[in-house]
Amino acid sequence: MRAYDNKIIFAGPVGAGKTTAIGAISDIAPVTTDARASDMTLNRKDTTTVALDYGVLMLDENTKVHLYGTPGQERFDFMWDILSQGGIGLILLLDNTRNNPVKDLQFFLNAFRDMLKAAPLVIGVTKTDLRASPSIETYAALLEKFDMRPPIFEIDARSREDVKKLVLALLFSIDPGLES
Amino acid sequence: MMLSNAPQPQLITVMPVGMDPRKLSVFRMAFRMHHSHQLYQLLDEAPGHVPDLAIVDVDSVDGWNAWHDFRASHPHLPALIVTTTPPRAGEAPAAVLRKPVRIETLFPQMRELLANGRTPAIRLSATVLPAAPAAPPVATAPAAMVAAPASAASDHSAAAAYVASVAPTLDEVISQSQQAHRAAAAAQQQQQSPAPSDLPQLMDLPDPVPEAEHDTAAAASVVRSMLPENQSTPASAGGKISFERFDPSAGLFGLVARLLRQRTAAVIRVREVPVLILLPAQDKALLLQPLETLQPLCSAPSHEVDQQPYANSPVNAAQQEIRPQTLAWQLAIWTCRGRLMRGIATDTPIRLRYWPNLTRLPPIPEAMRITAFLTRTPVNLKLITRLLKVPPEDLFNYLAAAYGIGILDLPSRSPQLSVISTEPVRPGSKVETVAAPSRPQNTSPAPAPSPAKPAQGSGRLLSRLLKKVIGL
Ligand SMILES: Nc1nc2c(ncn2[C@@H]2O[C@H](COP(=O)(O)OP(=O)(O)OP(=O)(O)O)[C@@H](O)[C@H]2O)c(=O)[nH]1
Ligand SMILES: [Mg+2]
Repeated sequence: MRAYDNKIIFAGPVGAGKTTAIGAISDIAPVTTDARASDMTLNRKDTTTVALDYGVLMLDENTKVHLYGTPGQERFDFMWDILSQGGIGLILLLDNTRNNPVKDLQFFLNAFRDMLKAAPLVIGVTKTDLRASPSIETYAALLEKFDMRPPIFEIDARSREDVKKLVLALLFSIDPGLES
Repeated sequence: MMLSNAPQPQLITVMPVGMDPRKLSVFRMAFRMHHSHQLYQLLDEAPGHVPDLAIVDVDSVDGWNAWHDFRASHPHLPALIVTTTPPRAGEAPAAVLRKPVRIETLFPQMRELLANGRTPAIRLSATVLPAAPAAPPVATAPAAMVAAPASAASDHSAAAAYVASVAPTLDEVISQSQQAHRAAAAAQQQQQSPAPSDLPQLMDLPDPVPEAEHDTAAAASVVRSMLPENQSTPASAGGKISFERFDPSAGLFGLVARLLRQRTAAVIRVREVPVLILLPAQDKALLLQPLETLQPLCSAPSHEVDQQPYANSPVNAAQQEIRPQTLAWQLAIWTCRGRLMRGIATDTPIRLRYWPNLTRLPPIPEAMRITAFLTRTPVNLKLITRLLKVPPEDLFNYLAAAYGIGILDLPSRSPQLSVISTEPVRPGSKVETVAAPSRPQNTSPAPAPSPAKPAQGSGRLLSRLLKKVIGL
């Protein structure tokens, strides 16, 4: 059978912290394709990812789990399809300081719907230190209305502990009985 | 090592083919739940074992190639095919089980396959059953949320197929209770006015049920089953399990949980000393003394705890702000102390409305694992402890904490509700054989076991990833 795709996809809008989150747990210095943001976007950020981010979790010298960050900007959305084939699961990061993060949530669930038919979803909401609302409960109660109960946590993408928890939740969503 | 004098169960190793980790986990759970003279295990968990039979899923991206590759490498291994779209009768190369796979047919089919030895029985019994009703889209099917009305119908069936592929067996086991649970929950919800905001609306606890003898006995046996095997505690050695409950509506925790659920702002006092101000509408609580000092107050009896309206209370003590969820979660742990809350019997179907914000709540061991299981589907204590090897005190603390923040979804006042938690397969349970073609009787000697392939390993990859991430 086809080898199981050893990869985890990080997605989300510009500035949500995808590049940062991959850097927080990767065993290698993340390979990024960030460009100066000035010519790419009107966003407040200095740099933005234009193709993908790449990091690795080494299980042993032969086995790797690949971490891919998709570019936040929609103009690079062709990368989303390429990256999201197969995969262990999707980690969606939302930036609470953006105008309408709930709309971002809907947008990305739609964009990755094909992947999500076969792979689990975990949501991390970043920058809650800068803006506390919507609260995690607001997102979760909204998702519940659609009968969706994915793991959803407040995280700081710069915190390894927080990003770790996203990956753990992904693994236990696949198999609550998983043992190490 | 103690040898039990009970007859040794027959250990059967099943090689999964064409399955991703989620499908594997469903079979793993089904196998764990199955108790008979035969014990089943996945080859992943027993690398090096010689498989006794294979279950081949032909619905992966590889489709039927999964079957062909498998057959080429294991020409003689008995095999069962699982698929949502079975071929026509007589055209399948092996016995076929239609998804969603039912536990009632899975185990008898496997037994029959083993009994018949190497010539796979051509048998489509399961496929000619009336199609099982599509599973309701539970789990995390995203289809419902996406904005694409044109393809709503296909989205729905995709969601149903997705659910069936993720949790066929488990779904089947609990579907009855799930439906009953939903009905009860819906009825309950109708009686309640809608929550004024996004704060979790908590169902009231069922009326305290006087604990009948048998309930206590059942609970004790659950606790016993949770103890690690072969561990004989003084209590269990004497055949007496101490089994403690606590009242989640009492004391400081009970009051905080209730005010949160009612979204009532109040000053909370213990022995007439204000200790905190709860402001649910503003999503905050103000501590009038350090959080740790509330721990001993958690054992204060209800009559020593009271509330005063917020507006009337001048407060000028130093105030530390904390989220009400964090407060309730912490008070639950301090109050519960490993005891089971009243309102949950061993058969009560429990479900979580959604995941708690685990990165920002005081830690409870195994919280991730417990949440992942309880958000999938309603399950009762028996099932939880059988499938997750979690220490009871952690589980009970977790349930109390989940109750405290309003995400514990319990059906209320429905004593007839019960989750199927007994052995899913009863001896002699009838396998549907409607119009099954007569099977060629196979009398050939037992097959030479095929050499075990190295475990195909996606499950093990996840285990190793888990270990890696825990160690980061
Ligand atoms: N204050 C705060 N800053 C954060 C948090 N998470 C991430 N950041 C910062 O947010 C900025 C943006 O993060 P990136 O990782 O570049 O975002 P990205 O998702 O890769 O963005 P694109 O590549 O443009 O799509 C960085 O400066 C991070 O340090 C958080 O929780 N709080
Ligand atoms: Mg980036």
